[in-house]
Amino acid sequence: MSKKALFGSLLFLFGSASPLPGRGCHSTAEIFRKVEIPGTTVLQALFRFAAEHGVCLGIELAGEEILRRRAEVDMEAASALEAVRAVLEAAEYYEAVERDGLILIRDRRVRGFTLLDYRLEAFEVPRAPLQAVGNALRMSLIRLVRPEVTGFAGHYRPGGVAGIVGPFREKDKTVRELLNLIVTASQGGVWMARGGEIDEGTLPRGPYWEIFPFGSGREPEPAVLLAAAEKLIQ
Amino acid sequence: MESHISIGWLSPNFRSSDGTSNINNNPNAIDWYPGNPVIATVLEAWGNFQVQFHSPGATLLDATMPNECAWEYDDSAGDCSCAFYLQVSTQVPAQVRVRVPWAADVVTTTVQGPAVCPSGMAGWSRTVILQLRDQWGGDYDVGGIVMADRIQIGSPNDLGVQVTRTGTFSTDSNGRWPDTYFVCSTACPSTGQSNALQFWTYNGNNLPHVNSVVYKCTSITIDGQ
Repeated sequence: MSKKALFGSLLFLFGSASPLPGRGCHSTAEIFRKVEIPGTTVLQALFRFAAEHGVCLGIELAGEEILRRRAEVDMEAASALEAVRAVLEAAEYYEAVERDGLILIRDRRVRGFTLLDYRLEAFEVPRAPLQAVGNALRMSLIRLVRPEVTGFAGHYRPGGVAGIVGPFREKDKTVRELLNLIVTASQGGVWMARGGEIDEGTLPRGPYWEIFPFGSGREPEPAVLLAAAEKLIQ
Repeated sequence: MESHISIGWLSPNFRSSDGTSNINNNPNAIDWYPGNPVIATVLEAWGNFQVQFHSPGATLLDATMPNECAWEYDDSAGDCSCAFYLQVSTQVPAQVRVRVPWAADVVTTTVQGPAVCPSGMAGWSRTVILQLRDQWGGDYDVGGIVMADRIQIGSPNDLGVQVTRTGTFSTDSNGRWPDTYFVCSTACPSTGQSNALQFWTYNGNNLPHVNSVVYKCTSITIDGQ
């Protein structure tokens, strides 16, 4: 670890909110004495900041700038939203707002309908592991658009036992709102979704979103993060 | 002569009939004969022999010493001379294995039970630890390998599976990763089953072994496990 990175880590330990694992998402209004993120891709920087400070994020991926461009942040007395906005400056078209207890990030060039705008009449699942609930939401969305589907199969990253959430008995909520609910009900994490425009009544090919819980107290492997993000941008 | 392999380096050890032994790293003295040079060869540099791994498989690395002299001091000439040539043969050729990821196997089941499904559906969920294996069935214990897959539903498909979910995973330092398999169907509960093939890739390369997955309302088996 470089001296700079070590210094940054020490500041995270002593100069900011206690790191995870914790209970849910930390307040987005919390002021951090010092935020220092060494040079890395914008997306990786967001994950690093989120995991180390326990700030939950929802990222709607569209433009590739967030994967390709590099960010480096060194701020004092910054709120979580200010820090995230500072990271996003390098991604040019991405913007951040506070919503439902987390920070939502989206590409402002996207003005039309996205899969996160689909609205479910009802979403009812029992108390279950975070990733199982995320998977149930995915299947519910597909059945909303394609009610003729009779079966699903496959697999997903299980996440830890600590990531148990729910039960949920939600009415008339968008997919975005449901993802926010699921993540903020957990020990905290980041959801990252396909945020490009689609025609209403259709669904894109490939994965729709990934949920990365904070369980381990560190961001996901860069290669896994990049691979997942590239699939969501395709 | 016998050879010992360690992290791609060869150290030829000579044992004489009188019981003495010594290591000879002289490239001018030893000729190497790979059984299959497509798999591995030996790079001869002064002071060491380095194994070059080229492609997956197993081969032997044999060696000879064609012109090894038994030097003797000639009192009359005041110099050393080659009294006779030694017959040197390989006692145990070096065995080389070039390993590659070959299959993803179930090591253990962490938890299983009814799946979390949308209303009107039921199914099964099974969380397992998968292990990356090499072509000899050994653990491929390398971390940071990105595993991804594709699932192809076959026959029978009693559970009416039309949509599959695949993922991206990263191996830990033991070459393992946790994975939750699931099935949800309007046909559950029933005794029907849906068969599928799972094609894995590692860092974007195809894994040669294809897993067969059997989904039922109360069980999921992967390659018969």
